[in-house]
Amino acid sequence: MKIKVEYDKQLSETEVVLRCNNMKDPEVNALLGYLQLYDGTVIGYKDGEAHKLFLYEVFYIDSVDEKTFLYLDNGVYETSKKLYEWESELIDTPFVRISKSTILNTDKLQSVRPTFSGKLEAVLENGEKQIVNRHYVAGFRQKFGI
Amino acid sequence: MKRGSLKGCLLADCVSFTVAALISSILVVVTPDRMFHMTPNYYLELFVVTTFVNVLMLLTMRLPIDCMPVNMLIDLLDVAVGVLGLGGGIFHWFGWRLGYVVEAVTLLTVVYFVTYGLMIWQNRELARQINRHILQCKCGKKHAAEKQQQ
Repeated sequence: MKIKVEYDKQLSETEVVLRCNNMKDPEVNALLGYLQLYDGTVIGYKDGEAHKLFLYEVFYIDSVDEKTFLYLDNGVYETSKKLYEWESELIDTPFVRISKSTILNTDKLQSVRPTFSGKLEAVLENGEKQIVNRHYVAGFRQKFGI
Repeated sequence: MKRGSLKGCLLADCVSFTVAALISSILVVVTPDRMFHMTPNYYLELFVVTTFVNVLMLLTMRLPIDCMPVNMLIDLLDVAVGVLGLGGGIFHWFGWRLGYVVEAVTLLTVVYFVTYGLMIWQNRELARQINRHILQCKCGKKHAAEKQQQ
């Protein structure tokens, strides 16, 4: 894959053009997913105020008592979307479902380790730990091309 | 390997059948008054039982229980159902005497734990591969950032 960066002072915003010969190439889809992630912003609510958040800043999305929360380094934000809506929206991005109530950003992963119950423990860059349930291990490993 | 997947179930079936067949064969050689009636169909029946137990586990694994001891207890119940129901009830591997039943269930429980150990070992291998991938991505990002700074 060739990577070319062109500088143009006349451009009002950064433009990404992806040139490929096969739209079904997994590498192309992965790149599109990353671009979608970096371009994506969401609205999160905290203390009654709406905040504009970048998706790539989100560590994980968790659902508790029918409410959905976005976990960032600087705090926890509530979101109006349900977990299943996030899941379908974040296909082909580094986000992956790891349990019934959690979607994890694999870009924020520090490491994983196995547990004796056949699950995986994901350690995030902020030191938090999340459990990848057995039911979701297959989807999780697919994100890494394994 | 995800134990709750069909692929994981097939792998667990292969491993458990191999381990069970191996232990049965050793027992036949070592113990003169063997507990099992080793009919010509024994290994086929054993395969049916291990397959049944693994399919049963595949189904019970879908129960929304996250407590490891409870999960293991359910797995062991699956083993007991397979051994007693199919092995004892249908294939008549052993008579319904307490000693035989305990021996048969013990044997298949040993098979379960050996299979379980092998699956955990495989999980460790998966974690190692993912960690290597994470490390490569982080190195790649660091390299790209350094290149951009230059």
